[in-house]
Amino acid sequence: MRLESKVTIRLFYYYSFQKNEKICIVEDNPDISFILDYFLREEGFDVIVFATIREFKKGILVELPDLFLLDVMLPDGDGITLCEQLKNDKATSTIPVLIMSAHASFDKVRQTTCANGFINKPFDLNDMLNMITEQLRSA
Amino acid sequence: MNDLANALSNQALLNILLLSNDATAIYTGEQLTIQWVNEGMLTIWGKEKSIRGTCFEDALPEMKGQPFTELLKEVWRNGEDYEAKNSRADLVVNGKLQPFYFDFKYRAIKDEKGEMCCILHTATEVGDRMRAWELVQMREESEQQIQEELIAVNEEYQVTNEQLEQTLLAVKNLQNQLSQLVTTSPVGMTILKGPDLVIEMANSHMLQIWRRTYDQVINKKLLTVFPELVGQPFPEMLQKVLITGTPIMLKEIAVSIKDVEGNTKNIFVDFAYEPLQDTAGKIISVMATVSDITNIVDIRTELEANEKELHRLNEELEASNEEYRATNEEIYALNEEYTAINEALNRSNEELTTVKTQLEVANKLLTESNTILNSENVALTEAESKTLALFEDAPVAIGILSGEELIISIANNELLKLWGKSPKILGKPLATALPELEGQHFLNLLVEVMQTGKAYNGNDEKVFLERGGKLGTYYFSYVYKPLMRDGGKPHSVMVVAYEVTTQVETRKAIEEANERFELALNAGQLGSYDLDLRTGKMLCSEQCKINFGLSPEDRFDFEDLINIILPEFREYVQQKVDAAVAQNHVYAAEYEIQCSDKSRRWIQATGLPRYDQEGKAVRIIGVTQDISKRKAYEQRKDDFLGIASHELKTPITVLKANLQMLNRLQHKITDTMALTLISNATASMDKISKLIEDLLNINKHTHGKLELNKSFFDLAKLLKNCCNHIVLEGKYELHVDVPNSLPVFADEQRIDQVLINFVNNAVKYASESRIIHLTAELQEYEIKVCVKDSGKGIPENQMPHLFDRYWQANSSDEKYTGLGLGLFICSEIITRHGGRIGANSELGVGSTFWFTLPIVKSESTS
Repeated sequence: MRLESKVTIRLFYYYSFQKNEKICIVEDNPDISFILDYFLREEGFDVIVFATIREFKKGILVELPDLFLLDVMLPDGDGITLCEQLKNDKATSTIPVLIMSAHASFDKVRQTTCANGFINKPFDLNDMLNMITEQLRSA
Repeated sequence: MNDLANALSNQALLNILLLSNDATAIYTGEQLTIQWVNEGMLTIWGKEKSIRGTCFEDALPEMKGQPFTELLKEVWRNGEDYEAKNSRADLVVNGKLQPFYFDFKYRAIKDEKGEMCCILHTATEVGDRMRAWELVQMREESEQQIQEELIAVNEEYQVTNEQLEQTLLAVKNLQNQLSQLVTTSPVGMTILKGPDLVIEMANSHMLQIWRRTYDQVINKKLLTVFPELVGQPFPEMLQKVLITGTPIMLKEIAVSIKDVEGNTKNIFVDFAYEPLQDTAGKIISVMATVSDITNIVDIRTELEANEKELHRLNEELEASNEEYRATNEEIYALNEEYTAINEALNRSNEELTTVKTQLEVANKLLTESNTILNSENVALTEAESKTLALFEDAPVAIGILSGEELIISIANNELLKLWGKSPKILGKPLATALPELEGQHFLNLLVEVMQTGKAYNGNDEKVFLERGGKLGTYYFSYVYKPLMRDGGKPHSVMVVAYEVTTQVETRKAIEEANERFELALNAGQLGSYDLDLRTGKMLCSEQCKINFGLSPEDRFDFEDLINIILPEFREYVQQKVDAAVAQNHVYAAEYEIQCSDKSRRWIQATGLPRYDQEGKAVRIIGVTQDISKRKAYEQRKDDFLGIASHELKTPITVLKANLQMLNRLQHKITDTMALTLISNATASMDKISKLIEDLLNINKHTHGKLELNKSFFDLAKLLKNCCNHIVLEGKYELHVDVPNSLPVFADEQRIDQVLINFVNNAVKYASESRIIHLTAELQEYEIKVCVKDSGKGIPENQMPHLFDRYWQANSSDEKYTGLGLGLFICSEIITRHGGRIGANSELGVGSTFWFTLPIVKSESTS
């Protein structure tokens, strides 16, 4: 029921802009990025996935997304630092950033970063979708 | 036209023209011969008909110098018409040259061949029009002139008016200023008019000086108001000012004034009389300004008097001062004498002290000799008073050994008992009577006493003795005292002995126990301490100091202990000590310290308070232990748990998301078993998520990382909605009975967690109970929430462990899953909120789990 209404909202977005909103995922675990990519595409988003910060920095220049979804622990850095960099860059400072974390000291993470939202792993896909739509609507 | 021309003869035409009202003339040729002219033209010209046939110039000589002749000639030459309006021509009419005005036309008349035939001149006298116009113009001119004159006059008038107004304003301002000056002036002001000195104006200050009201003085003669002024010089002075116009100023004048009651008062005033002139420069009134300086004069008079007094006193003081100086000198002289005497005294004193010290030394020596003499005396007296009978019944073992062979001459019952021998030994040498002494040092000691004459004291010495045929170990304290006659060689030795076997053995047992205790403490690296709560002094074992990184000789009092504890633990330790003392229970704390070498250690301390008779806590005695290693292990375990749960989360995230996506595809799955499998997998996945969450939580709790995100919320609402999932399952009924509103300040999510845990426990452990009661009530200081089931209850021996970490309900016939962390976490959450948590249970009836939250006044509800 709830999911359906979200879908309606997504469809509304889809038809009103005629162009899918783009979500950029930085996640090194291929299983997680696979399912997120699949899920979000099903929900009508364009999705671009990077496994490392290096790849992300090389690839992101092509086209800016409408939202960043970052993992905290990455092989060549961490999502929190990346988030800070994005927020300090004029080009990306207004794009919402959501951080996915499985870390035990989650509360600490919450205090020290500038992200627009946090998603605790393991997450519920509907919850994640709610957060994403909320961020896109208020952005 | 031709027809007409033919029809009429030239003469006829001329006659017609003759009738025309317009003045008309016809000229021909270059000479402008007047061929024809009608009456109108002749009238204009003022000429007779006789001018016909003459030249234009000749007929009108006045035209010379005027443009008309030339104009006509032009018309003749060019054959073009000329027309002019309002043209002036000066003509001689009635013998007088006058100006006239005409509209006229010179028309070039040509014959059929186009040759000039004649000039037709028509003219209309417009003199009237011109004159009228000139008249109008003249009138306008004069009107304008008049108007201009008027404006000029007006302007002058206006300027005058303005000047007048300004003057008026200035006058008014002046009047105002004057009035203001007069009324508000801090000095008294009055205006006296005319030779009668009528009081025209007086300000409030003046009225005050006069001690009159406004109505009493205004428009009244000065001398009428103040009859007492008659005979005083002032009226005359005022008249003088009026006549001469010379102002008068007087300072500090004494005036006597009567108030309305007729009391005369002398006042001092400063005067100024200023003449006031009218516009003509005539003096009409006098402005008198008066300031009452009575006070100033009084004060000055007083001041002068005071100064005089001061001067007098000063002189007196000077005199006394001199006296004092003389006295001082005397004192100084006396002082010097006194100092000299004092020094002499000091010297004598020192001498005296020296003598006294010498005397004291002598005295001490004398006292010592006396003591020695006394003790000798006592010994003598004792020797003299000794009797055999006394020996016999003495409760102390006494005997006398005589001669070099140490013959037992006397041995009382006590001694025989000690030796374990019969009276038969009397008269026998000691060595024979007590053969077991052979090899022990006593015989030698006795011989030595006999030879040297010096007494010997033995303390708690071990002796092997045969008692009742059995050789045993015994302990004695004893004295060997030589007995001498006439100061010669000792003839015998008196033995006084006291058995201390029991005491020594007890002491040894205690010592051993202590030693074992010490060993045990040391083996466990437990340091012991004894803290005096009144002084803060601490008696510590060596190990205790070692535990704290100190050397045995370092001071270690409570103050030092607090200082070595890391600041974040200090308050906690103090609270624990205070709580233990207040409630008389075991003090137990774990805290981290920083040693002098900056290394850190974890210490576990336990202790028990001791109280005096009045119930006041005086000491805490207990042990300390270095638990750094254990803490390190715990840390490693917690780290492991943290990493493990974190690592587990990633695959679970994938699993969960995959299952969710699979669930969304269920409409494509036709096999119902597959759907069941998905549902089962989802349920299991949720459980495993929960378990991992618990593991992570436990980790947070031990790290003290459980952060409360407190906010104001309605607990009643939370209670009503929290456990819908249980109701949804359909198997259980949740009876919620709570007040309408329960505002609390707490972490909503955590409290929800506790409630869910309680309800889930009820479902899990009391599955046979279909109804679960959820109640909440507002008490005096707290809100109590209860979750009650009607299950089979909890055995009493399990009750104390319900909230322990990793504890599991140990039911023999049932298996329960979980880590046993649920209630432990609940307890942590509630404790951190400052609340209490607990459970009551009765076997076969059911259990109630409850918690409380303190009531906090909220801004939103109060």
